[in-house]
Amino acid sequence: MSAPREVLFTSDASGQLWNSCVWDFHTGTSLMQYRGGSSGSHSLCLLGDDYLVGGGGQKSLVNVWELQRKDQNQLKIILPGKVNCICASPDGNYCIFGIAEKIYIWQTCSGNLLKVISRHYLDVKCIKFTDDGSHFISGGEDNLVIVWCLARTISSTDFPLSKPEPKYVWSGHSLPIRDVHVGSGGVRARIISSSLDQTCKLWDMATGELLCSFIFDTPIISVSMDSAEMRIFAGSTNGNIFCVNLYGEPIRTERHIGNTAGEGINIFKGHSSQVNCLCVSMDGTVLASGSDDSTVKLWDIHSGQCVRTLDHKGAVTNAFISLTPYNVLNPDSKPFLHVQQFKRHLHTTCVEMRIRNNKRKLDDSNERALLELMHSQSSVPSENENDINAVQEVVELKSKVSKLKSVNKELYEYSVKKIVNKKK
Amino acid sequence: MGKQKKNRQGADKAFQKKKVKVGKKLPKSMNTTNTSFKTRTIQIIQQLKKDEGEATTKRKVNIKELLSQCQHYNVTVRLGAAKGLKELLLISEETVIAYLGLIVDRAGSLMTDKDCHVREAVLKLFQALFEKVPANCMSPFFPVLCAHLCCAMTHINGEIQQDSLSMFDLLLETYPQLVIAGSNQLMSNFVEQISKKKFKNVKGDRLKSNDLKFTLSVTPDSRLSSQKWQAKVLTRLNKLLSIVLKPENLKSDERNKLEHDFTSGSRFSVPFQSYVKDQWSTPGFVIKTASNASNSSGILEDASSIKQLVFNLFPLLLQCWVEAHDPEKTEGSLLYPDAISVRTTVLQITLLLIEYGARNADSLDVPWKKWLTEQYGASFENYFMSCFPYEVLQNKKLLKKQKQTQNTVSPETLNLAVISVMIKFIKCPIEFLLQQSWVQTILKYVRGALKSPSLSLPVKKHLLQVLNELIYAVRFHEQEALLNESFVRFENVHALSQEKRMYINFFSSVIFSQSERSKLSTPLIHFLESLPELLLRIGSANTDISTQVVSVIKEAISSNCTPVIKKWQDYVNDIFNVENGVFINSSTFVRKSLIEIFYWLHDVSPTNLCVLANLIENDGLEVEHGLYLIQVLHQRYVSKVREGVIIDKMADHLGFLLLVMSGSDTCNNNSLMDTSQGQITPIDWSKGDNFEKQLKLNNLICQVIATDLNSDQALVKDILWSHLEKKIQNGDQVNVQIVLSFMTILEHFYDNEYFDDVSINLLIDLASDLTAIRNGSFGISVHVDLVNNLFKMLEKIVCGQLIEKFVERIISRILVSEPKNENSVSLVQMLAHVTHQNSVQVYILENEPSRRQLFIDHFQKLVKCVQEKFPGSTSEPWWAQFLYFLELLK
Repeated sequence: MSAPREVLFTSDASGQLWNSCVWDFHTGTSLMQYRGGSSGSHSLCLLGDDYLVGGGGQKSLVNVWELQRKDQNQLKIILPGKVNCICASPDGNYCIFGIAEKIYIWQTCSGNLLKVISRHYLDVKCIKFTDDGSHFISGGEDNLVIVWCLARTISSTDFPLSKPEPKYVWSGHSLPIRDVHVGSGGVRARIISSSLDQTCKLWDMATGELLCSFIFDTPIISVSMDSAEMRIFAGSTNGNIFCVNLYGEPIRTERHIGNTAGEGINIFKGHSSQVNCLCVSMDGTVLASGSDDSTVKLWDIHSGQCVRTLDHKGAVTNAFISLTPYNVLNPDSKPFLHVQQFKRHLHTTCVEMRIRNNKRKLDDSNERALLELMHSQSSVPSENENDINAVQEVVELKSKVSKLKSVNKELYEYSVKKIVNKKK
Repeated sequence: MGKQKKNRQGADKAFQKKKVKVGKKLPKSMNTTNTSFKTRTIQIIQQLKKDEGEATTKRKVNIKELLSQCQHYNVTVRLGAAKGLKELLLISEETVIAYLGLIVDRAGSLMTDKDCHVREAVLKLFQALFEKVPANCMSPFFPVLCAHLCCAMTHINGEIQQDSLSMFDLLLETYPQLVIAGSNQLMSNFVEQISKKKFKNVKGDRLKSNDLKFTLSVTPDSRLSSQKWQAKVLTRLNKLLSIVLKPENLKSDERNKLEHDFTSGSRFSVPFQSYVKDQWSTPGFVIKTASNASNSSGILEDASSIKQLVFNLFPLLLQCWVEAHDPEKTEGSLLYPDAISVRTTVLQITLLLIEYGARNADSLDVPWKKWLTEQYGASFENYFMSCFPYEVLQNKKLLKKQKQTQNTVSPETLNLAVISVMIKFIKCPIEFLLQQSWVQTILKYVRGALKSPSLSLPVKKHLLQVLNELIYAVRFHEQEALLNESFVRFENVHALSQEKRMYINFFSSVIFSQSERSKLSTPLIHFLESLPELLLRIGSANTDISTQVVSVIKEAISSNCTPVIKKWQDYVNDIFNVENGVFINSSTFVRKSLIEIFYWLHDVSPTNLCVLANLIENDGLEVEHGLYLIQVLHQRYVSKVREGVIIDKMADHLGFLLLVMSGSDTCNNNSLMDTSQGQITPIDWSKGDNFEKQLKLNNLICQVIATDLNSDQALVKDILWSHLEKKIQNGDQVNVQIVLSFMTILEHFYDNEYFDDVSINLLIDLASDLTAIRNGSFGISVHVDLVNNLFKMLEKIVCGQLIEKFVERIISRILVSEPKNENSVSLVQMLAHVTHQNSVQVYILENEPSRRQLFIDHFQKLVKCVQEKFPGSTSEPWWAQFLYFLELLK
């Protein structure tokens, strides 16, 4: 069996069979299962390529599984409160938890609690990282979407009382935020947020402006975009998934989307209850949706047909598609990252930064490429007409070097003989 | 021959030679031409052909000549040139703008002209010119203009200096951006205007000190008193500084805007950061090297230069302050009106500089506040606070004059300006140090001002601005006292006045700037608690204020301010009341906000829900809002349930939904319940006007129940059906609303277990009525869409599992009916229609043989009965269809 390029991670609220499961979504076979407890919505995520972090629901407990081991005693971490949402930075170095109205940032390798931010006034519902890991976005019950710069928030660890300033505070929504999706592009990404006030709003992170708002006729629970940002997908409370094209004329800042499919709007009907999570595959052809009706459905985006239904035992809380982590397929591999129990108290002294290459292979190949490039450049003058000059120069330089070396040696010998021996 | 002779004789006559004699005039020959002519002068008043290239004035002077005339030695010629240029500008803009550089140069030099009329004319010329020329066209010539202006400003002649101020005003008005760029030069000249005049300075000895210490100058011989002159210059300085320091303000404003105002922009905007946008408007680059960085043209391009500026200006300003008033004449706190205005300007400039420094504190080499306090704290205290609450001294002579000049400054403005400057010097309240003695004086004054009702509106606004800063600079108990005073004032102000809005703004900014919103001080809590009542009192009288109040309430509630939530709950019933509540009369935005507030409420009581159900029923409420309200309440319920299921809440919620569905007017009317069980009552068709709204609501409610309450399905169904039964058996007439809700519930949640006699009776009644209406044989007229909708629903319901029961009951009904009963005829027709449906036919045909037989028996009975009782209907086409189906069945 050849390995699939992308896999689907799902979890349901009951946790009867397993907490979370890895699927090959093209065939519908389950590849891996991780047991123990259940995960609440927005609280299942990959930590680097090595671990799966899941937890929350109504508990203050988080499980950390090593991806390659099937039946294992996972690491259990107890947190200061009920977990609303979990998010790990793309490189797996930092783990951010939304606990009640506060945001906690832990460093995974040391387990140090770096910062507790209390800026939201009510529960934080959703945290997402940008793809470069430089910023993260939090959305809460108090209608706010806040953009934070990770480096700025944790750089003030020496002053535990200082309050980190958010990069942007977007208060355009009028009811609680339910989901946030971050597009690609790092600090210049576009962000879409969905809310119970029946709207989705598209924000620009470079300037902090509101680009467009989409007005539906039901509350929107989940939202996603494909990787090219051609369409947005919005999962509503009544089980419909709206697929809205972002391209096409005329360009408007407000779009009203009714209950019927029309130009630029497609409606995927199939779920009988609210859609909790949405995710699009890398190539933008498959949409995975998880709903309260205990199913995960896979849709062909272009035709709008439901391709496959994966049954679960309870309301689906998480479903996300990710590039297949190496460890999922290879049971003998060892995790690269190091995870420790998270500490309860704020870490105040200077942070020890562990700089380790996460992707060694990649870097090796980079180095090789660099060497090749250097070789190719150094070989350029030898092909020229004046290569003889170059050779002569090399010879001259070499002689100079040898001369200098000999002088150095003489100096050394002199000093050893005259100065050191004198002392004796 | 003879004839020939005659001819010859005639010819001879013609050719006779004239004799020319000496001394006689030579006769003119016959064939000469008269070459003489007469002349007469013609005056051409207008040239037919215009001179295309050249536009000229009435005096036929073109632009080149005008420009050269500007330098003429004769005053009248120069005056004419200036006037001519203006005239030319009005005639043909393009020619003048083409010579813009020359004009600016030549006309600019006239600013220093000796003759006042010329200067006046030049000013008018520039006024007209600046209106036409945009800033970017003017920018290359602006240094020239500036240079001329500086010449005028530093001119020996006092009158020229004075006129230069009005020119400067003009520049400030039209090209503020350009003035900023050239402000360095202008600024120093400005300062010199009131300070350094070597030859006229009385205190000449001070000029020797070379360390840039400016001292005020006195010009005894000028027409204006030096005080007035200072006042004039100071107001200009204030204007200049406020413009120079303004861009920063604007930027910070924009950033605030980003946070709050997203709803307004309707046009599409491409997002670019502001500095990128700035680059588009001013192309080109500024090349800076280490050598030329120092002599940049703007005063405050480099934020650190503020220190030098302060160093120069503050002593000067203090001198102005002192000179403005003669303490020997009157007491220190009693001032003449013009002294007040000078002093206010002094303070305004001081405040501008201090604020600018504070904004750019990062780029300075010293901690700004500390430096400022060390340098000037003591002297400011000494000068400004020594006789602090200033009052106006009304001079009887001046009183008349003042009525003419209306721009006098009130003493309150001066006092507030003093406070706003001195606030900057108050030590931080956290320090357990001795508070400066003058702080209490300030507090006393502010409290007094809060109490006095006679202040004008701008002063009140200013007062609140000052207050907004002051409360952060004083200790906690003082802060609370201040807030208390302002709350008392807020309470007493009329609810619809401008002042009320200002106070609401003030309080909300104080509340929302605090990070911990659960620990507010008592006056703030009082304020929040007073808001719901205020909203009730305002009602729909002033939409602006009510919108503001609602948005404050909403923001407070959504950010976890518990006091306002509790208070709000008490007022829910009043606000959402159908008859006189605020909700029903307010704008769409307010309505939406009011609905959204429900999401965060801790507790919604059954009575509240009853009020809301009433509200949704009301005709005044649009469907959209009703739907939104239901959805918000439902989301609230769902999120509460996630925290822990409480069966009471579910019952309440479900009860609310059903109440909306079935109408609330009969909700308390259970006494008649058992009087008419099983009786068939005719349907009341009279109230079917807004069935569309009802249908939409019903659909949404059923959808909501189906999607989210699925887990407790048995319970839900139980409640649903028992509720429905109660309604139907109620003995009252069954109205359209109940029919609709009955049908929607049937459509969504049909269950054999609960479906009983009463329901089927109702269904059959409905069927007969509908058929009759469609045939046009019904007494009452009913809306066509309603009937069509209902009929479709009926079809859908009946063509399911219900068919057997339906057929059985309908036939038994027909069998017992009397002959020629209209009702029965329509029933038969309905039955025929139903059996004509494809799905029903398939269902019956493919059933088990025994059950098929049952159908056949029923149908045969029916046929027999119909043929006996209603022979009239056997000729109808639907009867033939029915018979055909029967044949098929057999």
